[in-house]
Amino acid sequence: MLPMSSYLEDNFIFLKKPFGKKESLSVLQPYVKAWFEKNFEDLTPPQRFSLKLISEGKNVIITGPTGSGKTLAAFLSILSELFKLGEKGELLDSIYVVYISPLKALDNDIKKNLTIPLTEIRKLASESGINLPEIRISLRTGDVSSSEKQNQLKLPPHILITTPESLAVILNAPKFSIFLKTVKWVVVDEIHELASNKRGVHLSLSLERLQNLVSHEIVRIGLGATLFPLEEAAKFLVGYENNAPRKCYIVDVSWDKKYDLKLITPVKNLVYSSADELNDSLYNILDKAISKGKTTLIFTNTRSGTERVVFHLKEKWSNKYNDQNLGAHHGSLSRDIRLEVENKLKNGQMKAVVSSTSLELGIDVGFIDQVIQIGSPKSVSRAIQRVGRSGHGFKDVAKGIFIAMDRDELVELIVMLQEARSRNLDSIEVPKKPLDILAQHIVGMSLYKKWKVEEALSLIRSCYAYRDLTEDELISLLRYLAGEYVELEDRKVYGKIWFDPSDKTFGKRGKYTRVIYYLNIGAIPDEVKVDVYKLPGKKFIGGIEESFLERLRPNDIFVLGGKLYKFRYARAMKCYVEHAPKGSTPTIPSWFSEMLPLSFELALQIQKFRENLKNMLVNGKIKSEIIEWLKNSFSVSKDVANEVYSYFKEQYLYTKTIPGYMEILIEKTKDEKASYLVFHALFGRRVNDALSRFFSIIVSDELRKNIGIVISDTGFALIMPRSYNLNLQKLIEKSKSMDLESVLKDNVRRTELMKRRFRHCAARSFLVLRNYKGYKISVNKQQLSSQTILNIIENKDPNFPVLKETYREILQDVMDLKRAKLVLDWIKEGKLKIRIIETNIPSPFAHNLIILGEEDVVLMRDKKKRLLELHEKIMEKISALG
Amino acid sequence: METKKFYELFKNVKVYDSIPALFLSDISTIVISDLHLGYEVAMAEKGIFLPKVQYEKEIILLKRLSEFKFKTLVLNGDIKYEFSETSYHEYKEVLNFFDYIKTKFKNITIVKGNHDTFITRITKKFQLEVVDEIKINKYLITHGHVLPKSFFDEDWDTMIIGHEHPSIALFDELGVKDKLECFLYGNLVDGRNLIVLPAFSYISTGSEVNLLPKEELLSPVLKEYALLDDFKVLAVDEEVGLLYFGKLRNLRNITTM
Repeated sequence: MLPMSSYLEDNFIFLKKPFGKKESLSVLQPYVKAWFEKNFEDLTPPQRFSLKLISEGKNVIITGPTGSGKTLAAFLSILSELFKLGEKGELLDSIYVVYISPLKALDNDIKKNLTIPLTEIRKLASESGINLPEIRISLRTGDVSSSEKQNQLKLPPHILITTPESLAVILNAPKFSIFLKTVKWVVVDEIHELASNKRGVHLSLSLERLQNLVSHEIVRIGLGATLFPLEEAAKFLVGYENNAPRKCYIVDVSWDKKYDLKLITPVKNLVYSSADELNDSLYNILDKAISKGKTTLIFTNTRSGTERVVFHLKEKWSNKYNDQNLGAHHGSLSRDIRLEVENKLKNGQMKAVVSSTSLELGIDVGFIDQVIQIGSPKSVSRAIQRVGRSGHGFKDVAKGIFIAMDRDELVELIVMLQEARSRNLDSIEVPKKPLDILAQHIVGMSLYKKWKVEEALSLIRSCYAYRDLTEDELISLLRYLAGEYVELEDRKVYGKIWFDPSDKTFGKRGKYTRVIYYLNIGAIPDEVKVDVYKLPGKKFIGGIEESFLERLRPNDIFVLGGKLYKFRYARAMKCYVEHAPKGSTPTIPSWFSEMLPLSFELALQIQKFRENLKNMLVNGKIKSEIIEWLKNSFSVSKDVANEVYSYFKEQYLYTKTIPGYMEILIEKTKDEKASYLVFHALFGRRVNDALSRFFSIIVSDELRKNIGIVISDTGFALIMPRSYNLNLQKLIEKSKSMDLESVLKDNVRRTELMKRRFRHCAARSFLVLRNYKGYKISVNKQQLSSQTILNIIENKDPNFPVLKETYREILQDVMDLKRAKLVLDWIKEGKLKIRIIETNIPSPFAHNLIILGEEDVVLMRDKKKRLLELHEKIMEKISALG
Repeated sequence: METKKFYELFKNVKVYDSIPALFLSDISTIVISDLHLGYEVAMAEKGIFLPKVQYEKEIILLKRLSEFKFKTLVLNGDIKYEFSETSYHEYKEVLNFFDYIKTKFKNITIVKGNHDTFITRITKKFQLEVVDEIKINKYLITHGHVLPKSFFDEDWDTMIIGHEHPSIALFDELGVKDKLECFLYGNLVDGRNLIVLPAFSYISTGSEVNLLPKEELLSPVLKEYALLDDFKVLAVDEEVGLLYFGKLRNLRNITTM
């Protein structure tokens, strides 16, 4: 009997009450049970739910903290079933289990962690006279050699450990894929890392293709850290059948872990301390904390931040920290370096490791005393996930210290930690209908066999992300892949598939298509790297992204590898620079593409926090009362409370108000460089990304000028012409009658963002290949900018699938169109108030925003007028020079 | 605000409206260069599957050229894109192209460019001659990727080249970059005239002449024999028309607003 479920939606069953120990262990073969009892005192919480469910062939999602025995929870019943087959002599030389994780490092760990029980169980069984066959485990990732792959073909593993990309490859491996026909279980690990991005969608479509390959229902098991809502994750994992989600059991034990969350600032006063004081103090704090414990894990939000922290710690305390006990770990580092750091961590040799995101996943890191987070991790889930890396087992208290580096971050962290304590998580959303990912799979499917559109559509729709895909959408993609945008005789070069509209069938085409598929699949965008050379002498010094180069103007100063350079010129995607003069400062922020967005839910909570403080100030509460309230309600120190108080008090004194809950405050202001319209709009940057462009488009059309934009989580600013004449009130009224989506769609092409994202989508859709005919393509680097390709496509067909996907990705994944619409609806309905103030210099709340610097530009609609004006200005300047 | 409809670069040498072509009225000749036919298919062979837009665009421009009723058309090099043996697709495009211009111009002269290996295979069919350089009256017309044989002859006073695809890069006060194709014209070190044509091709990736140092340019004529800083810049754009920017020297100093 199943225990009573506390919540029942037809297909998702949330389990609250675990099975008993006895009941759970009874599902295992006696020798498996014996092995477990020999090694463990008790079942961990996830195991109490999972053993029985999985043995009964149920789909299940298990979320729990690191160290809660999730791997065994997923695998114990499966291993038992496999041994049972072996005992009966029914175990074939074929694959039964596919395990997928987003990280090769995790794959390595899992293989190791399963090999131990497999060996020991077999030994234990043989001691009691039962001879069990060996259960083989193999890795199949991009790192696996071709000789190893050959071996796997001769003798396939029973358990295959792989990544999303490699799974998509083996689905099309003509011989190896035969072994997939026996797959009974699929385990998807780190599901929180996959459910909300294109990489995950790519995987989920692979799962449906795998399901399509076998003749029985595959049991799906999802593992992950805490995430919300779990129904969304479940739909992502199990997909649909006969128009309804497949049934899935949900086990959430993520909150069994205890957390100790502390918030500090490096200095008492964040505003009046110089950058040097701030940094000195930060490194002193880090050093003290590291010295106290055995191993400390430090998270920063950017890769460059990670490098900086490691560099400074080693420099300041060279006798204490060196390459042997302090290291960086992030995605840009080579695999060898990362492996070395991981190994030393596991062996307890590291005093501290600094990481951007890579170590927040479930790689085995050994014992960590504490986690230090520099700056805000931007989401409650990520905060919990990162801190959860500390502590021995799940019973230990996880310790996290959060260091706020500016006053907005401080406010953000106060609210975030409070939300974490109250277990309010931000929600995830699976991207819907990404056409570029689908294009890859259609090519993969057609390599496998000839398809009827109807049949393909039914397979694709069983994947949650493509639930609502229409036949027309599929057919337009088929036409694109068949090369129908060029004349018939050219299609043998352009077409990756053939499509016959008369009987609605499609299949593979072209001798290179299989190679294209193998070498170009995957959802992780490949930035086009531009090589940088130093003048004179043209010595190679490193690489920058194409999108970064596009923003560089002659004489711009930027940072590369910790040094400052002055940009001179670029030729054929090579960039030439010289040493920047002493004392120069960067004119381009080097982190502009690395920002994590603050979640909308958390943003609204911060609005409420602001509202509360505003009310206290308006009602004349005195300092000590407010400080007490902060200390009591948010468990913060006196120093932190003081700093927050002064921040709000200054803003209040300066503007006589504070932007509160359900309110946007527009501040008309200027500094020595420009005039600004600062929107204090605390909705998180994904919503602000949409709102800022919406308003700048309206302003640009009104003034017929280019408008620069600065975007942050707490608001956005429009960079205006030095002097302008604008009736803001009227403009806001006008905005109420405008449709956000169509305004953005019409105008997104006038932004820089479009170019950057188009490049990614074009690569994913196989329009611009990264690898072709066996070699890396460099020709696109040398010949064609994203802008040129984009112009050609737009000119040809504004509804081209790759363009459509670019718009979708920008509006729905980069921006949060849905919630931006919600905000505008609130404005229309009068639920959200807009107030306008004017200041002579930017108010304290506007400071952090303005120093960020411009991020994008909305160009005025009329290209001719824009160029004529520019021409006129340049000629004026030239004649002024004489 | 309207742009000027035509400019006279030198006596009898004119540029009209938004057309990247040079009109020599004294000899009733139009010069264009760098057509790069077959570019898209050549790219597709390398894994960039662009829709084909170039051929149609160029035919439209040629139609406009034919309306001037000049007698001679000089194709000043790089008519087709691919270096290697002409592929079938490109072949067909080039055939159609010659079919078309044959009906529009009385005389056609083809000057060979660096991309035009194998071009004779096609020109033979149309009984057209291919030359490395040509002198008509006072003009010396050559593609410009190498120094022409007649360079040191004294019987010409105006040289016309292509190859460089000159363009200028401009930045507005927000840092937005715009790139405009342009004519460059001025004097050689010996005082004679030199004109550099913009590419006739729609898909052109050229030299941003106001940002690049002289030694980074492509044409040896420009690099070694031109008083480049004093060259004048006349931008030409499909939508905007003609924009005169004065001397390149000044534009080098004022790329950013």
